[in-house]
Amino acid sequence: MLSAEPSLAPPEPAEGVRLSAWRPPVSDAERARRDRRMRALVTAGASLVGLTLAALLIVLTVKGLSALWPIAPVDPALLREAGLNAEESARAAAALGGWEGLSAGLLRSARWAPQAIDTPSFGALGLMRSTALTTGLAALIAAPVGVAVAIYLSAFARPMERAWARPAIELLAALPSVLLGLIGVSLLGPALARLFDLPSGLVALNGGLLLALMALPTVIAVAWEALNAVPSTFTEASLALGADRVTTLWRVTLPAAWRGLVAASLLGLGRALGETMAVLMACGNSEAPPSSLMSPAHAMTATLALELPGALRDSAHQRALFALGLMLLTISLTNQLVARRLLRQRAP
Amino acid sequence: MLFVPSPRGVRLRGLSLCALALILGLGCASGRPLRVQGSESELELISGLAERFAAAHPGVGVALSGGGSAAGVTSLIDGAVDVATVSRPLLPTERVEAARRGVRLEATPFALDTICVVVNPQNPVAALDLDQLGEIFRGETTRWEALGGEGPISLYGRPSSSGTWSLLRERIVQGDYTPSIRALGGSAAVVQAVAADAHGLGYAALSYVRHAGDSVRVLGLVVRPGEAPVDPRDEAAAREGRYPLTRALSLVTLAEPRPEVAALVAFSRSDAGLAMIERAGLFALEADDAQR
Repeated sequence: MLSAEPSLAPPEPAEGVRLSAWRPPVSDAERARRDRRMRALVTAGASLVGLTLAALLIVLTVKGLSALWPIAPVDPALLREAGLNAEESARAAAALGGWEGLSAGLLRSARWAPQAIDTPSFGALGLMRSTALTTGLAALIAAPVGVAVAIYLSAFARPMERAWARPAIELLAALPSVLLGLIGVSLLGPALARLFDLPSGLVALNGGLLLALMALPTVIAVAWEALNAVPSTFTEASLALGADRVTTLWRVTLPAAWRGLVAASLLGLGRALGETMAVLMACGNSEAPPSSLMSPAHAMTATLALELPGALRDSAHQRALFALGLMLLTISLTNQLVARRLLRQRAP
Repeated sequence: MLFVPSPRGVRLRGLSLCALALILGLGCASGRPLRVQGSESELELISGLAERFAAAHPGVGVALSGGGSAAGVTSLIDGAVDVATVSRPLLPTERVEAARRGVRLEATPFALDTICVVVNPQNPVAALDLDQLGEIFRGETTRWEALGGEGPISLYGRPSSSGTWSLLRERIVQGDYTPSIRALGGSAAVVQAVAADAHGLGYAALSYVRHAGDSVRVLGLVVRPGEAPVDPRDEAAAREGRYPLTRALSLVTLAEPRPEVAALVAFSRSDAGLAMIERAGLFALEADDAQR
């Protein structure tokens, strides 16, 4: 590509090509300098991402674990300085200090009442049940539907349909979650209320359906890729042996792609697990733990979004919320790791 | 050949660089923006106020966010915002926290607001007394039959970070809310949910109820047995303190704020500020109002 002797004259432009911005070639030293500069810039960008991630994990872990340590009682001098009367002092002292740590509550109680007047309680079981209910429903719907769509697209769709499907799926993935929440509040909610004769459509079912919609693009995209990764020789051999397409699908393609399909469902579940705005708007957020899909739910993510901004720094409430965040992180990281592992161990 | 830039490419790149410089320049020209956070009930009023303020003070930008009164005060104590908009008195916990961190908070009330109790228009109940309301929110009354209606009561409210939530608890509930009450993001969401639920009952800030028109019905509150119910939209009742859920909306800053912050607080009490308050359907605060 390079001539041995760099010419300083502009090359003859080919027919129809304009070379108004042509510059003479640069020296080797200058080129090396440019490369170094660019590499430093790119490396800085990459390490920024790594450092941010590490800092995030460390802060979340430290703050989340701080929920386990006790908080000392409030200094009475502070209560006097704040100019509180006897009753206010008692309440402030109860809310801010003398906390024995979370070991007594988080995983054993279902009563989440962080601002209760006399006995604040930080039991996360109800919140976990809410999250399990909404994301579980989402995964139960999105996994079979998403895999079915992926099978159709990879095995049966016409090229024209495939060409349309990809942008359509991307569009669904790009829908802002607040918009889906709005749909949940103003369309899906009233429809569910009428259908099941509920007083209000702001229930776990509403959130679960929205989450299914949000998980669907992830499931379809990953499952589609997994199916496409099955070597065409497999299917061709099966068809050549006289099997029909459905038999080929059940006996050859799906067994070869199952890891990818399970990973697709897990990644879809992960998408639903972290979603906040839609469940916050559509589920009603009652402190009472949900008894069924038809009762309001208070997902862990929605709790964090609603309560974290107003929780005083280092208060029991804030520590409990960070512990909740740490739990959410652990669940979703585990889920992600399992899915990645499945994707790496593809069938030969 | 591949990387030879065409004149068009050069021009595009130049244009985008100019645009970037312009955006950065605009960002810097307005200096550090005033950061305001807090009450969802005040959000609409404050955003109107902030817009007017920014128009009257070129070079000063205002960044506004919600999250509830508690979010505003927490951020103010943390030094993350300049002004907290608060729809209730400062809580004992917040005063202790401020003392612990060595900051002094200064609240400037600027408007009168009322918390409205709303039901679905299909609901025959026209008024409740304060005891009945307390029983409903504590979960002791769970059906409308006891109050002259029918069916189960479904309750809509706000999260604990909301000033409306804590003021209603202080004045009416005087205990813990029933855990079955739904906590929605803002007054507008509460009004919308009650409008869709024939058995619903919720509480919301006055300006959002005014927007709702006939989609919900505002309940009058009977303060003492035998008296006529008081309507939250009645200006005289709010001013004289006859409506029990009347509150002052205030701007809270650190003591001795920087000049732009003080200017914003002063602006909220100027004639232009008063006009915005009236336009939002709230009441401007006057010297002889019964509210603190």
